[in-house]
Amino acid sequence: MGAEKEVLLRMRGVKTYFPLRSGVFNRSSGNVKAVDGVDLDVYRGEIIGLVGESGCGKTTLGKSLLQLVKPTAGTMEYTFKEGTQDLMKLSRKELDLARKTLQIVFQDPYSSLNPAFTIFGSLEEPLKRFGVRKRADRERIIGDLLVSVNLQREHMTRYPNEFSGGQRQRIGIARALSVNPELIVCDEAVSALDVSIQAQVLQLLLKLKREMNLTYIFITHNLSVVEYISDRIAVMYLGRIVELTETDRLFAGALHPYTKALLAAIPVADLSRRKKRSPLQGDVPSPVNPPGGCHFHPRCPECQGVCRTEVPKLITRTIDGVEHAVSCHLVE
Amino acid sequence: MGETIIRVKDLHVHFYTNQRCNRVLNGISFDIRKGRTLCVVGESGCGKSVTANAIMRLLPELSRIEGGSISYLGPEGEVRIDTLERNGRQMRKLRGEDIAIIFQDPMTALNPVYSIGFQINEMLQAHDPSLRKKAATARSVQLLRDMGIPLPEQRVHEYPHQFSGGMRQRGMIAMAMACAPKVLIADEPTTALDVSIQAQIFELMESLKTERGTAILLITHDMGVVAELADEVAVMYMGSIVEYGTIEDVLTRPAHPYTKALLKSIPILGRGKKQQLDPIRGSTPDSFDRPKGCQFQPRCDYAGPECQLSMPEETLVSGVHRVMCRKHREVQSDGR
Repeated sequence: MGAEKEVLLRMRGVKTYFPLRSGVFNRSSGNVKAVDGVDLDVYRGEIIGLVGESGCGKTTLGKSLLQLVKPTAGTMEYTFKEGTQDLMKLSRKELDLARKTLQIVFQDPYSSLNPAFTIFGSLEEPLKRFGVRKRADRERIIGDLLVSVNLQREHMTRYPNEFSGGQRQRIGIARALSVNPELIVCDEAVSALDVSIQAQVLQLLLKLKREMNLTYIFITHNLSVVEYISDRIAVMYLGRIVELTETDRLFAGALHPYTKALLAAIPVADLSRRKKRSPLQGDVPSPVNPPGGCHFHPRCPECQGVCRTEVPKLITRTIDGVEHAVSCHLVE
Repeated sequence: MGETIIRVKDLHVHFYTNQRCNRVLNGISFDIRKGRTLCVVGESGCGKSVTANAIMRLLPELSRIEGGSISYLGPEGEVRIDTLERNGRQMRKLRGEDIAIIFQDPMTALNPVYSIGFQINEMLQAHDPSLRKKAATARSVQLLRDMGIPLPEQRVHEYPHQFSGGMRQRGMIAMAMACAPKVLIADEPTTALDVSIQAQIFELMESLKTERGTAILLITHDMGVVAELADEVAVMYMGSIVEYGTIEDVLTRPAHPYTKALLKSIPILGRGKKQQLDPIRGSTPDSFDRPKGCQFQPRCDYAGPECQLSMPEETLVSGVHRVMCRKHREVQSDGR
């Protein structure tokens, strides 16, 4: 990429809290800090991977971006064709139009399509909304979309139950593509699929990106998948980004102890790499009451005094010409 | 190599629904050995969970074991599990005491209205009616401690919802190991868990294998898990074991096109973006509308006209490595 990187989306201090209510009067008794201060730049035309374990806030961040859940604080500046705007300050109407450029593909291909609608019915909704008035036009566009995701034109008259999981996921992708978006959030888009089908969908996503010049935010817990598809990877832990760098660098020289442990924990289908495990102890703490200081310190093998009291900042350094951001006190 | 504890021979299981018959298992054979881990790997719908449930005799009412045998070779000689009454006295005694199972989702496998300790006690007392409650609870605490649950004295009185996912699975394993079974069947035990927790559970299972000599049948869809834990591997496709062998045989010298394609279709960690993924074309066929001949033939790169005639016979490649493919020599030697 080099110098001509254009920032498409600039997130600063994004926080999404879910209030907890308890007691008879439904009084607020704390917050689930799902996303707790995320700074992230997304460049045009890249695939950025967002990885972490369940409960680390990766899906919430994706949904916050599309304003499907309202973030509590922070800014999200998106560079539209007409100029830069903060997604969080858009009115309802503006937001509707913004969704023409921002789309999402959900994890579960079974629950994200309405079973009572034909594929045409599901796919024509966004087109109707964005001003394709003639039915013949919609049919042509949807037919082309289905072909581009390796399905057949005739499939549009069928119902979701007639399709397999992999096919449904491709329909979900076609739906996201129908309004010609620029940025697609893929939230665990291949996780529910069988391995032989996973590869088909991954290759389809890469093909579409090349053809339509898309930008992906690829949310997953599967590091092998994210290594294959992403240009850069952000590792999240309890609502914060702990490490962010280019893919090759992350796998060759991860700096954060959590990333290292995560990489070591993944089973690899390669006998020459069968290794002695030293798994992380304990569980991910509750995001309602996260540990003070560095969130990772209770599980960290290299924990020191300062980690218990001070929150480490995400500091970007340039190491061997590669930008490498990590939030750890122990990284010099 | 350890002695055989469970021998499955030419097992056929059919499901009968809506006046149709689904041939779920079409003659599968394998041995589960003491102190060894046998991994059964395959995609959804290939019959791997049915295999596990057939050994435990936990199949649904609409199913029948149509042929073959499942033998438990215990200290009192051979017991033919497939001929026992589904929920008869003998089968109930075997279940839990000699063969135990853990399931994929620990939340649905544990009863939410009873404490973990109660559920383990129930198991202990069912197999040893003379055991008093106090002694049983002490055993439960010890079991939880062995499985690496912190503060077991307190945890034993807690309910499943108070446990995290990984802890619940440890609780399940504690329950399964309560009567020190000789065989542990694990049906996708870590699919619902995070990788860091998965690694903890694997370590626990490895220690059960090496320290207690427990024979493990591990069912998974993840080739990575296979590479980490297996001693022997059985690859299943559409109700048949298409390839069986030691871990080295199957992962480094696959002889079945399906195994080979499966290994090439998954991204491998550490190989970066340059790795070539070759997806398997098409999708798994409908079990009511099976292809002719070899089940993998419509998706296979090596298939010829003879593959449409019949399911190929099982051939021995070397040692214990066996495969159901006519073209296995070609598959192994062409270097693709």
